[in-house]
Amino acid sequence: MGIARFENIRVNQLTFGASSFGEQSTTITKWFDTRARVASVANSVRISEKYRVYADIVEFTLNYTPNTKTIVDSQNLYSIAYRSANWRIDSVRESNDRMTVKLLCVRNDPVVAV
Amino acid sequence: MTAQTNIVNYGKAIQYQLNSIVTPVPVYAAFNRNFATQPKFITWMLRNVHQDVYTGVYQSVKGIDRPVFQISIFTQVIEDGFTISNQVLQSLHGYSGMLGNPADGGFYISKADCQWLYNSYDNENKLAEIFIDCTIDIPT
Repeated sequence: MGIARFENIRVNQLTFGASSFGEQSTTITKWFDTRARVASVANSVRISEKYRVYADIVEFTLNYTPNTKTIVDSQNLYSIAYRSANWRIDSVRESNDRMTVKLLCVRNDPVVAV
Repeated sequence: MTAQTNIVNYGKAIQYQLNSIVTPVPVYAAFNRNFATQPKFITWMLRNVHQDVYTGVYQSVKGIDRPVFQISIFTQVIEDGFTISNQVLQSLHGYSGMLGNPADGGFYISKADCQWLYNSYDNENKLAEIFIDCTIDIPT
């Protein structure tokens, strides 16, 4: 029997705009705070020819609610703040009994030369 | 016969002017990931900034600057691109007056001269493209 681990997360909304110079900008605004069941916190490295790319992965399980259903429908419009870093939603899974939603989130650390 | 206008203001003015012509279609300085969700948008690119220098002795003795900015119009529907480019031509070609926001670095131009270059289709990002060159005459 694994230990259930619940931690505070913040769900943010993303809006994409342009600066007065026409550069694309992403604005992050808080949508709501919640607690999620956190699992499989992992940091991995991928080495290409010239660079090491560190990628963090984490899995959040949330209750199935109208808000989480919205996230499932268009996960590109939301990000999650967890451990004071900003995570993007990679893939989402609705449980078949519609009780929970599982979000797999990723975050890139700085890219470092090999 | 004065110093050259700040190039930063060229960029700001082009962005502001294009944005006011084609609004609500978004205008960007560069292609970006919004292409995946936006059915039509415009990007611009400035080149050939050159203010003639008349003498080799005094740096401030300069003539008219005639830079060119390329307007790239991307649309999912080909006809939309033609409609937007017509909008740009109608309001920018032959335009003389304030370019940009007067409160944020806008400046007077004597003439804007547009040349509609060609239309095309990019099969990779599934967007129709139209390219227009616009030469602006910036008096000193």
